[in-house]
Amino acid sequence: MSANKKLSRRNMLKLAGLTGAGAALAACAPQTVEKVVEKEKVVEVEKIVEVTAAAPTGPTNALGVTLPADALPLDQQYIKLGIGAVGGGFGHIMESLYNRAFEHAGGAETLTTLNIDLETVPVACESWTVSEDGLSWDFALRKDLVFSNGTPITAHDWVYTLRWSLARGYDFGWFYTDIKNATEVMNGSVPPEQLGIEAVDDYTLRITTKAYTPYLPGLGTWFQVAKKDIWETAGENWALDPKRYVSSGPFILSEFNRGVSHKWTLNKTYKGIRRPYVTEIREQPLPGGIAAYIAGDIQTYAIDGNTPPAEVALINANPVLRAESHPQPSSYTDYLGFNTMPGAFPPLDNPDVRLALCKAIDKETLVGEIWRGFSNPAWGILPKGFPGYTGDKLKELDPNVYNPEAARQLLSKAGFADGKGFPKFEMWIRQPTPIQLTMCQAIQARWKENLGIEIELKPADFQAFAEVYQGKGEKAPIYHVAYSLDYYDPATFLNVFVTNGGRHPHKDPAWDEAYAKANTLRDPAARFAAIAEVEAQLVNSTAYYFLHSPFSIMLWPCNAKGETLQPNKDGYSFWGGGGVGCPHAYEGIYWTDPACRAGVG
Amino acid sequence: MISYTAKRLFGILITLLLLSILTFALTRLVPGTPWGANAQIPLSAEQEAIFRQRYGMDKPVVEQYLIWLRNAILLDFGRPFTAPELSVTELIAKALPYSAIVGGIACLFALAIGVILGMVAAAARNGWLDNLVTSYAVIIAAMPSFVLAYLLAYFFAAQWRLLPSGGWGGPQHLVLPVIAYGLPVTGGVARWTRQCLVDTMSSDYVRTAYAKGLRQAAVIARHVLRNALIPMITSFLPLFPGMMTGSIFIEVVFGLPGLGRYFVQSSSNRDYPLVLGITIFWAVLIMLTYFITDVLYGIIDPRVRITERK
Repeated sequence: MSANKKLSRRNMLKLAGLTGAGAALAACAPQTVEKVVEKEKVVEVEKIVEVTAAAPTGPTNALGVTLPADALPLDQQYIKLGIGAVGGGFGHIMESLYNRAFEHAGGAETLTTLNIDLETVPVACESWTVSEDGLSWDFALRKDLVFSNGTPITAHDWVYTLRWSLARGYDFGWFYTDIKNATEVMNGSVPPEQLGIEAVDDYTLRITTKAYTPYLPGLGTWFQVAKKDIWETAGENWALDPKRYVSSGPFILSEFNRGVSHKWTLNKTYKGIRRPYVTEIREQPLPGGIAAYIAGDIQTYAIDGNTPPAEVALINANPVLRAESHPQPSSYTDYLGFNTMPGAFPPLDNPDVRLALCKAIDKETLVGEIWRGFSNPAWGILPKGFPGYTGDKLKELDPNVYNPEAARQLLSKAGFADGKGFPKFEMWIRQPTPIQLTMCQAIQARWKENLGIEIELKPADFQAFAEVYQGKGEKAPIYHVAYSLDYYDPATFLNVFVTNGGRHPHKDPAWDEAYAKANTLRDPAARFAAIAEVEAQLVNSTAYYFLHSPFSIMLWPCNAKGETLQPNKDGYSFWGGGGVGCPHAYEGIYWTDPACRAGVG
Repeated sequence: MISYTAKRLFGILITLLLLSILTFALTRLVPGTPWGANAQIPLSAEQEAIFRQRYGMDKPVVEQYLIWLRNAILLDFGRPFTAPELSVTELIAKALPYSAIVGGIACLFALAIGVILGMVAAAARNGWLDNLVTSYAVIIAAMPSFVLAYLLAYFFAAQWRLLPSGGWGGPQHLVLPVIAYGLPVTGGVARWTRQCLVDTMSSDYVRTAYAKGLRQAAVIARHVLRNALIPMITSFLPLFPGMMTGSIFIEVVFGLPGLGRYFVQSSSNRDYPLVLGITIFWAVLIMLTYFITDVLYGIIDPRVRITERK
């Protein structure tokens, strides 16, 4: 990672944080309250710094971790999570990502993780190196790691896990398709043994990629090890059964009562670097709403554009709740896509028509009015503040410039003056939240008002959407989707636009080639510059129209302390180690006296 | 009575068979697959084939249904895709008690409050008390239970710290869910109770009872209530299975483990075995309730038995 990149990201994240928090505050609170909050946020940061400097003389947990002096007794040190956030049928993440039963990575060691500065750092490995040709990555594994049954964790376990997973139709398999033969293994055209992962020796794991993949260590944040042959020896669903569960992480499943209570206690055999203060992770159905948070019955609460204004006002008016609010960086972008496949939905295959549709949307106004400060307009796919963000330049590109008159002329040039004769297309919307639906309704109104064309909105759940949009003939002419990051590199967003990624009804081999070239550049600065170019090409293609990147504000109690919760170099604080969206084990958090919450209710 | 019972049971079986065919067909017609739930991109054809084979869905649909039917007759409804460590029956048995406790108590609460209010309104017919009860009934019935739930949680848990905002634990955890679930139902119960009582009170035999010089309490106890009970039972008994099988809103707001969320989640997850299992379970419960209601009807109202004999 180059110094340039760090500096750039820092500035961008700072800018995003300030803009985001400022926008949310401006939208939600009167001017006088805003000033008070700024002051309180400063006080809160000072408190955290002071507490983390305390001497570690508190109680010592079963892993031998001594808590700071201000920690509550061990029986009050636990993380409470809701069942249902994921709540699926599979106990190990490498069986299913989208239908997994546990959201965290307490029971399984990841290859890497994110630190609070959102940089990829080793977990199960000590370091990694890349070969001169950029295709082979050697991960030096930690030699002292063992499973909860005492067996050492070796490279053979990692090899087994990924081979087993991809050969069994893993629903997150596409995430690993940079690895040599991953697609072929998933399709069954080559045996799992030919997957680009091998044990050089017991403690050296080699992953071979198809092309240079600079973000490969970032993929390791989602890669969790399982014991070799565990599915064959312990049987199906071993990861849902405390009697059969074999942990590689700092916690072990000690109780599993489906839908009622899942409990994780410290895994005493754990020798890795994730050393939690808390002694348990308790999962149970949790009450919802701000009332439950104020009452202390839930440990975190998030607000965003979907939160009722009255609730946002309630938080704004309460100094304790304000001090417990932590703006989060944008992690996803909502965008529109057009089906450009030749002959599928004419005239959407005409770039002038698509440009007219783009230019007829007053993005900044719509986002401001509808999202009430909880979203930034998107000028490309990368959210504001994300590494490689160049939104300020992309903003000037023609599709991003609102100009209804120019839009009407373009449509007229294409033979649809005042919208006459323009087909009534459907806009399919993937699993929309109420506010996403409102946004689509506003776009529908803008097109009607500015261009005289009508569209029909078709909200659909994930499954129905996928069937129409990608399955059986790609029947969606216009669609609205959101895409969320998986790791901190522009590739996490841009990879999805590669034609053979199978996500969009649009083909552009020239763009694919340009992107492949940009993405595999060895010099980070040159790579980021080239990626910025291809992102601009993506905007100009008008196959997509990037709408906005929402963000949330997370609340957690002021008596939650620890190094994990400290503001990072860009001023953001995250709940749980490893940053946003990445499974973690809540190391670095502990609970202190809740006196600071007096007056919350 | 025996032939009536036999006929009704046969009808229930036929209904269940038709319902299972319809539900099975609908689950297969709705787009999506259980293994594609929440996936950002659909699985490849090769990946899908792996799952189809694993879950026995590589066979023709009719064959799949017949296999399901054969197993269902043996009370084996398969394993939910989203809870493969349990059978459908085990999952329902595990989740039902939570819903039954909350829903059952909420139902009793709603009936107790509603019937009392209905009786008060009927006794004070067209008076200010009647108007008050009617106004209450309309307002409370119009308020969705989840709105009430949030309000109750905000005041009783967040502001006054009198009760927990949710979760499963001691009796104190039941108070707010029961009130939030039961209170909106009291409106309908009160109005129907009032209606039944007022209708009965307008009957000739009630006027005769008054003419004979009986006191109002005696008239209501001996003549009005018994006769008004018939329509009330038919209306109120089916409330129990409806409420005891859970409410997604109440369960989500108060964080309760229960069957309600499975009703919704099994559909969105395309969890075919669970959708079918819960649908059949719910249908059996409803049909048995109506069946019992009809039998009780005959016991309470001799005219039903006489008609049956003819």
